[in-house]
Amino acid sequence: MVSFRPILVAGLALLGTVPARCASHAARSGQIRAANLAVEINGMLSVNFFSLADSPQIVGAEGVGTVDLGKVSYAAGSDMPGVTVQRAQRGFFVQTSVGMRIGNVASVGGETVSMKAWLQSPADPYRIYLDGVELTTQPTMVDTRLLTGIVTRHELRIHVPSNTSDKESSLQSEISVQVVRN
Amino acid sequence: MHMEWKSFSRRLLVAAAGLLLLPAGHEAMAASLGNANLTVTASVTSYVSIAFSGTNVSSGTAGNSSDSFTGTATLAFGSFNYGSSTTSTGATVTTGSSLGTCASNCIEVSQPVTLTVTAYDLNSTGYTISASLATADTTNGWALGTTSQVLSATGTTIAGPGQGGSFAYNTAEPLTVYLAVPQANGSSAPTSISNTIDMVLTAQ
Repeated sequence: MVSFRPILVAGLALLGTVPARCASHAARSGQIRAANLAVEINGMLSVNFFSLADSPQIVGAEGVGTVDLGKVSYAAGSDMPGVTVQRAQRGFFVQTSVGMRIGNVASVGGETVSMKAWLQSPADPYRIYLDGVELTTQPTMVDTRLLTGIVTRHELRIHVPSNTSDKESSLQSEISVQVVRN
Repeated sequence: MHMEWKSFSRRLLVAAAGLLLLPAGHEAMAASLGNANLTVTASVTSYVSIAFSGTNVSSGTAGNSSDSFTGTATLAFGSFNYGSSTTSTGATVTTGSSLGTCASNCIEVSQPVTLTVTAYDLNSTGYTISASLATADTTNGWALGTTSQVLSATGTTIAGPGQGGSFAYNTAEPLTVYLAVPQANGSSAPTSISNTIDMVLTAQ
């Protein structure tokens, strides 16, 4: 016959320590949160896009951005500063860089997040890559250790297949990113 | 009594464990996510041109990346008059015309010109050509390819040998340029005629 009285006593003793432990934990995490307050708005990490010195202008606001890569062609390349065209056998690649900052400058250094990205709708016939990872309409892991608080450079690459390159057509695609604190 | 105590103690333990786990779980939920959307736009353009060649055709330019991909050339018919079989440069002259642009008899001059579609982007299956006169001509008639493809200041589709009347990339195609000049009764003064035929290529 096993007696549970000792366990109960231990449990009650544990309960008795919970408030103290929570308070202690809160006090410790409160120091971190004080630094994180600027990063977290309504419990969310802020994500912003930035133009880089050698990239096209990105316009937008908190959490949204638009980048226009201008006119691109297999023959003439690009007329947009910061946008390059790389010819391939079955089409060409349009390349540029975008800046992204998770959190703000006040965020704790050394923190990392994982970033997933996906397309809001299929981009056919174009294929879109972020940091070398092809994006689809399903969230795909792009970076598992992305630093917060600094502007990081990300490579955007779009493949234009040959069967569209002879026709003038517009490309418009929306890339969604989600970051999760590690 | 012993079993009731056992059950109660289990519930208490679960509750205690829940209390201990809650703060940690709550912290994990808060401030760990971030979302953003980036819209990317671009305009994919093509660069195709036409190179011209043939008798009486000056080289002009073939259209390349330094001249906005516009091929140009000049066709010189030379001089001719009623009754001639050829012009001074060797173009064919016939009396009468099937262009239907003359109220009375015409003198028709014709000369083949070779067109070659030069694409600086990747190949399309074919290209259609629309041709028009840069300056409307109410006196003389102009046609390209066949006498039924009469040109005006608005675009006329020029039939090619390919699928859907298209012109294939890098394939030389001879197209005859027709000029129908109405007979000028009682006039002996030479008349100079010139115009520009604009051609627009569209990838299929």
